[in-house]
Amino acid sequence: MKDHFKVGRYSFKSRLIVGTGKYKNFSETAKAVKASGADMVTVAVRRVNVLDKNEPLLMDYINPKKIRYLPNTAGCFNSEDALRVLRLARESGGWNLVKLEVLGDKETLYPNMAETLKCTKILVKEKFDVMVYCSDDPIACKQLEDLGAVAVMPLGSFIGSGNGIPNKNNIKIIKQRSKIPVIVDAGIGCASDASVAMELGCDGVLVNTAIAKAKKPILMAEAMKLAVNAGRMSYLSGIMTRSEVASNSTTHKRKIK
Amino acid sequence: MQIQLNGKKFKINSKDSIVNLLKKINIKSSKVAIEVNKAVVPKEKYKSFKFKNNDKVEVVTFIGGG
Repeated sequence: MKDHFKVGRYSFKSRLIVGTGKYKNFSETAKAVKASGADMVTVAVRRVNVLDKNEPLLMDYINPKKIRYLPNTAGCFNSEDALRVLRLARESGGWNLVKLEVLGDKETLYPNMAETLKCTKILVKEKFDVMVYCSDDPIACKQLEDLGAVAVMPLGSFIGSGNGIPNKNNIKIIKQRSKIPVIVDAGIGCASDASVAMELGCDGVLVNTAIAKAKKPILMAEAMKLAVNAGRMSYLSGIMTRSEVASNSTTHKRKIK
Repeated sequence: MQIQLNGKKFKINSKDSIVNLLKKINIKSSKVAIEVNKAVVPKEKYKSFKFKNNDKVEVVTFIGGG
C-alpha cells in the first residue's frame, strides 16, 4: 500500500517518528531506529563536551543523510531560548524542518501555548518549517495552523508518562478540523496506544520513552512500527459503526429444525 | 587571549579562526553549529572569523532527544 506521509514539502515512508533520548547508548538508539522503520528522528541541541575529545556523537551512529533529523527545543521554557536553539540547529546542517516545544513547567512539561504561538510566528517569518508540540486544544491547533505551522503535534498525555490518549475526542476533533498533519506527540506508552492514535485519523505518531524504556527497546520499536501501520490501515479501511446490541454473524435462514 | 567556550575559560591564539578552534577540540565542522556572543556564525565564515578577548562561544551538536 502506497501511503506517503507528507509534512510541508517533505515526504516520508514511515508515519512513525522516533525520539532518540533515554537509550542506554547510541548503539541501542541506532538499532531501535532501524527496527522502527522510522525515517525521521527527533534530536536535541546541546553543547559539545570540550573536555572529552573522544566522546561519541549521535551523528556517528545515525546518519543524517539517510534519516532526517528533526531538531527540537527540548528544555526551552521561553520563546527566546527556543529561537536560539533552532537557529543553531538550522546552521548545523541546513535543517529547516524543526520541532518547536516551549514548555510551561518542569513537573508537567505541558506546553506554554502563549509562548509557543509567539515563537511559531517568528519561526514562520524566518522561513522555518515548524512542527509544533502543543496542548490537545482544538482552538490552539487551529491558531498554529493559521500562523503557518506545517504540522501540529498535540500531546496524548504528559511527556514520558506512558498514559496513552485519555482524551480521544479532542484528538479526533483536532484532526477533523486540521488541514495540516496531526501527529500525536507524547504519552504513547505501548503499541496499542499508537494504533489508537492512527485509528483516530492522525497522520503520524512520535514515540520516544515507550521504546527507550521498554525492557527490550528494539522489540518495542518493531511493535510500534507494526502498530502504526495497523492503525493506519484500520483507519483507511473505514471502521464499522459500533452498535449497543449484538448482530449475528451467521444467517438464521436454513437453520435445521 | 581567552574566550568562554561552552561556559569554560579556554586559551586561544588571537590569530586562531574557528577552523583552528575546532581542530583543537577535535570535532568536524559538519557536526556542529557555533554561536559567538549569541549570534550564529555561518559555516562559510569559519575560516575567516577572528575571536576577540572574552568572546562567549557556544559550540553545539545534536544529542538524543524526544
